[in-house]
Amino acid sequence: MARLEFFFDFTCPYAFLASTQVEELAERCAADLHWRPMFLGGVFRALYGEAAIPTPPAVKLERIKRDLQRWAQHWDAPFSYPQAHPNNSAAALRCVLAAPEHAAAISHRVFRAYWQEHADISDRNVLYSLLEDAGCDAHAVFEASQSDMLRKSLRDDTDEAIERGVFGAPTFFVERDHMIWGQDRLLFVEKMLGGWRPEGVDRA
Amino acid sequence: MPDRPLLECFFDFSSPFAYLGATQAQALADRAGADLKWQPMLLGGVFRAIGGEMVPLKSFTAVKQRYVSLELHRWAEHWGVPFAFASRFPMNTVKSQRIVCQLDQGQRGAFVARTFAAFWVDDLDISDDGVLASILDELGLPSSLLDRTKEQSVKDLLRASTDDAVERGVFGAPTWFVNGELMFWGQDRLDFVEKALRGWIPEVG
Repeated sequence: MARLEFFFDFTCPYAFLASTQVEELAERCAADLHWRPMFLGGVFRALYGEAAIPTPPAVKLERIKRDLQRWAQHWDAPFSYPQAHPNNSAAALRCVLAAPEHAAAISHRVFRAYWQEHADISDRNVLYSLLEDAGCDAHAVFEASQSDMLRKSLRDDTDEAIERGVFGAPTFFVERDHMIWGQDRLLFVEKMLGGWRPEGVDRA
Repeated sequence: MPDRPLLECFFDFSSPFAYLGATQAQALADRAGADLKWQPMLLGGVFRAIGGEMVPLKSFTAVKQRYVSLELHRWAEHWGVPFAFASRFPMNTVKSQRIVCQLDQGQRGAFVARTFAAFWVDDLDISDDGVLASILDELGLPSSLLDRTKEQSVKDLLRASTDDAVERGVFGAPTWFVNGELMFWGQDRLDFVEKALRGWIPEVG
């Protein structure tokens, strides 16, 4: 079974769109899917330090947002930006790490809450009810997510992502070595899970 | 919708993404029964007008730059076309684009394909008169097309085409327009372009 890792943060709309597709894709390709939460703020800090993250000119930004909505329509996953964006996703990400057997269910539920219901996923009570919806022991998972161990896990996983060359979300790794960035590259993810290895890049 | 859908491709030879897109444009138009129009522009002029980076590719952080250039090779293999990142980048494309401006749409395809390949496959200096002259010669086009790139009327054609691009919202290359209205940016949006040529109208136009 080919290994597929999906690095994401709830605060990224592109990661949300990818999350709506990634399981079916993994199933089609008989791949072993790993949900890999990372803290995008930490990735950006590593890349840009205290400097502002560069933003494109207004004309381009506006078109990029339209493009994003076209993708939402394409995948039939409508969403809009919540007022509180970007919200702090650290606790929610740690919940995914705290309950690996429920990683997919928790991730789907939190993504939906953020991008479709505009819920405050940094709020303890909100998280509790999302965890319950995802079918897990909300109290146990939330408490675990607050532990030093889980805080360290999220930091370590974020560092791992940075070390492996991640600079944005979503980022996929096929068989550990082949990194693919972007929800608009699912075709490449699928081709690579099927064994595609472009010469000079993914193959000597 | 018109009888035959119209696909316009705004490009600059200096963009590797435009090269990749250009290798697919005619086949895509044929599949969708569309007419294809090549619309030259100077990316430098576009970037100045919108207030962005003059060479966006070089403004990325090192790690992203590496990834993006790696990905260009993946795309080239995906499309099944040769590609080598040009040793002279960015490239001055004023003359080559002024040649495009003087050609009829029917003549443009061959010149565009040959010039893109000269730069992004053969690593030639397409700002050089000798290189451009030999491309014209190879295609059986008159060398006067090169001489006339110094004429004001020809300079004005390229300026008008670049202004037109900016006015229509272009901010990068390649940019596609379907039936004059729907705009798509990127050689990685050809699936959307094809859907649009076949009648898809996204809710967000």
